[in-house]
Amino acid sequence: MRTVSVVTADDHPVYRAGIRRAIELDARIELLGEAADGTAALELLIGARPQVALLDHDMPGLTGTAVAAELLRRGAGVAVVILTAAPDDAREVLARAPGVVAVLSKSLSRRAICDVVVATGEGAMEAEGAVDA
Amino acid sequence: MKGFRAHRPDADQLWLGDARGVALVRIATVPALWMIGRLGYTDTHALFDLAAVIALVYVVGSAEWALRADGHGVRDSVVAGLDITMLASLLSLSGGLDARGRHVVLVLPLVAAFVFGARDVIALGLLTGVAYVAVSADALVAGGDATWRTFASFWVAIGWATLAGALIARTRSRRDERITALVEDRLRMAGELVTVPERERAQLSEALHDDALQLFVAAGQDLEDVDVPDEAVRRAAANLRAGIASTRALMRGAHPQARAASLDLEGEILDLAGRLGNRSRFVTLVEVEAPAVGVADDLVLLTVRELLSNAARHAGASTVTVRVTVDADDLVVDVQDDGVGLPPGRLKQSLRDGHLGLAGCRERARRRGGELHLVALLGGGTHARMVVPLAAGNRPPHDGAEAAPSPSPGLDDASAPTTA
Repeated sequence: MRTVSVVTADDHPVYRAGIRRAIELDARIELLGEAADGTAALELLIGARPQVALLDHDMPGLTGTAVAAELLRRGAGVAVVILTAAPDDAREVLARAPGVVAVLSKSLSRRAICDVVVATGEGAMEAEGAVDA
Repeated sequence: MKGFRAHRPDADQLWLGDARGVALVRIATVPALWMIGRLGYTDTHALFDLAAVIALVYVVGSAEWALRADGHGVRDSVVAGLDITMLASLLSLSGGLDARGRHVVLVLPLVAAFVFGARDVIALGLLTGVAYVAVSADALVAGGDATWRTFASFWVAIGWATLAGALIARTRSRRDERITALVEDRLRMAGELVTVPERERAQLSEALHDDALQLFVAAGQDLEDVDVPDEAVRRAAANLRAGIASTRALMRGAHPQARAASLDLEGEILDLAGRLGNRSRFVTLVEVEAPAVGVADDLVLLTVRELLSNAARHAGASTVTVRVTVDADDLVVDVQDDGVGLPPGRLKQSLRDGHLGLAGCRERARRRGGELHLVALLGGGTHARMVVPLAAGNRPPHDGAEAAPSPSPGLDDASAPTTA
């Protein structure tokens, strides 16, 4: 089974540690690195080029959507999943931001978050395969 | 401003007080000159009485005109020129060089010091000197040592009065600058006063979001990871969910932008109008256009509250109209009452008395690139209008401002009121 590579970023250490534990326990996902703010996340993503970026929206430096837009501008080919504690209507706005594949509530279970990361990564792989063929 | 029945340009002008004082001095000058001319030893011309009457009509008429038109009708320099001509005519007809009343013109540069700057006062003094040459022309042509002495001594007197007037004008303009600086300082402070609690609420809300909420959510996820949750774990998870919901509700109430987003603007205004109207017995007509909602609700509500409570306290109105509309690229808030209106200088006075509410609203509108004007309507009533541009920062969040990601840090956060 091919694993999905991911970089995650969140400015809150406890929340970030929880996500890291869940990813490490999930055999389908490989964690390439983590960052505590948007600027560091962008740098890491440009270097590591994972299939998926799991980013908190509300971070110091750059917000999650700003990182997504910058990745899109540079043609980095990273699928961005945004995590946010915002209510539904604000999530809809975030989902329309360029370069964003999915927007998830931070209160979702870690298993569900991992499932979306895997699905996003697999979707990206299929899309690549389609281009190859 | 369009749509006004009639208006006085701005009710809170300091200069009206000065203008009234100057007008009184000018009016008093003519009877004084007439009495001096009549009581003096010199022979007065047959036309002197008639000239005095014409002069009196002129000063009363021009003063009334100036006060009516708020000084925008006739240029002050034209009035000054006419005044000098009038004085010169009266002096010519009551003794020329020797006219007893000639000393009255020494007051001219001193009075001018309340209207003009130092340079203009000097120009006026020179003009007065020239006018005295014209008045004395007959006597000067006849010549004689006494004539020249009288003439020269009075020229020195005019010079002295001009110098004094120029110094007074300079002192006055410096004092005016100081007053303006103090008033501006006070306005800025008024703006600060209203924003400080808001800033503190926003900081509290951010602190809740950045730490407490994240911890709760992570703890909830930890509990979900328990493979076989027993009753205690399920209870803890339920309590945690309730705690998260209650923290979110607290943040919505605490964050000014988030609160504005959840505000029912028309409902709040109607509620406010109902309470104040019942107390002060006026009817309020409220119209809130849909596109005007969510632009700057907190500022709109603050301003309408201030204006309505002013109307309730001072206006004695029977009807107040509140309209919140969008006109091209501006949010426009109109509050108009049919009460007693604004006496000139009232706003400046209330600022001096320490009432900062309206000044605070004006300052906050200014900070958003807008303005707030109060206008006294002819025939009674007051019309207040606030205009705030629908610029990027003022657009409602659902207008897409938030959807455009900004590479500049912080900007995105500022326009993301509900992001938790």
